[in-house]
Amino acid sequence: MTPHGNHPDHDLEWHERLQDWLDGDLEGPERAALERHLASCAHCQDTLEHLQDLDRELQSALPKPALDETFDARLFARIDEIDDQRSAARARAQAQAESELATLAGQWRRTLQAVVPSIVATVAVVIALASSLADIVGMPGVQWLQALGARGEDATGVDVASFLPFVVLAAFAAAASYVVARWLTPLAES
Amino acid sequence: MTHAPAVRPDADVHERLQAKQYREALALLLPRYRDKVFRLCVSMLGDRALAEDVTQDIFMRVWRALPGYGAQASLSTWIYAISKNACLSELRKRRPHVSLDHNADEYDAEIASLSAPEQDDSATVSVTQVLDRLPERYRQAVILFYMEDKSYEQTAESLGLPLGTVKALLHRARKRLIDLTRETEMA
Repeated sequence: MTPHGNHPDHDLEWHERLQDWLDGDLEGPERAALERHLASCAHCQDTLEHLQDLDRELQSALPKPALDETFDARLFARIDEIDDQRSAARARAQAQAESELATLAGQWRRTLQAVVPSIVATVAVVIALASSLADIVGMPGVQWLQALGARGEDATGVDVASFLPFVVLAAFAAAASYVVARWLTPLAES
Repeated sequence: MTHAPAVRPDADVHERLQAKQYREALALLLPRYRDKVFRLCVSMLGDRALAEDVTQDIFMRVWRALPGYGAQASLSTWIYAISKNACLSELRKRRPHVSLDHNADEYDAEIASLSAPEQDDSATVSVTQVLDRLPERYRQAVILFYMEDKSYEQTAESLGLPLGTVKALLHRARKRLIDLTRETEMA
């Protein structure tokens, strides 16, 4: 037996190789060299014995733990629960979006109902006022309207000025409808 | 001589992911990784019941993150990274209040003591008694190595460390365990 004792250089040189030998990782000349050394070194034989004991003890003390069979089922149950919550949230969001869209469409419809008569009213009022003022002031815009009226008489044989009371009446009706529509819209939305 | 084409690991899972079938992908990867992840959790947390809860949280995280998995890392590396982060965050949550001048070694000792068994006065020294006196990274490597059927490769993959580093860690851990056992027996 060689008197290597507890020399650190000796341990450094051989102990890692002892574990490699135990793990079956040493081959060829390295394996032969270790086995030759082991046969003559009491310290390495002692260490090898300790390593083997340690290996056995650790293997029995640390069995391979495994999850129980219900693990997958419990995991997928949690996933299903989250999926259901997500689906419900998606359905709620979709219903809310549809409702908002419907409200918006209603608002647009009501707005258009108010805008159209207001435009008509504005145009009619402008034409009516311009034509009525034609006899009072000689404004260029009024003269143009008079000329337009004269051409209308030439082309169709109808006196445009005779329609002015109706135009004025229509204009006031449109204006009135606009005011009523503006008043009704907030009531319809509430 | 012809070579068989290399089969991509978890190719079937990747196919499901490309088809956006996340639930099916999870169902495929679960039997392959659940026990390995669980063992990593046991080795890091030192508590079986807690490890089981954390393992479930890990797979919930995996499931939520599957749509964003870009295959930059292998699936196993990605899952183990999520697992390690989850365990570390669980350990941080359980970390006792410490003052700013507390050093890392003291913290490691506190973490180790969370799972340390009661001391007994019997003459026989159990390996689990001295196991808890190992530094945290040695203890983790030893526990995982023996739980993983003594596979250096699997231990290295789970811990995200190179194979050589794991071998060196285990070598030092064994040496320390033998020394600790001798010391305890002589005391």
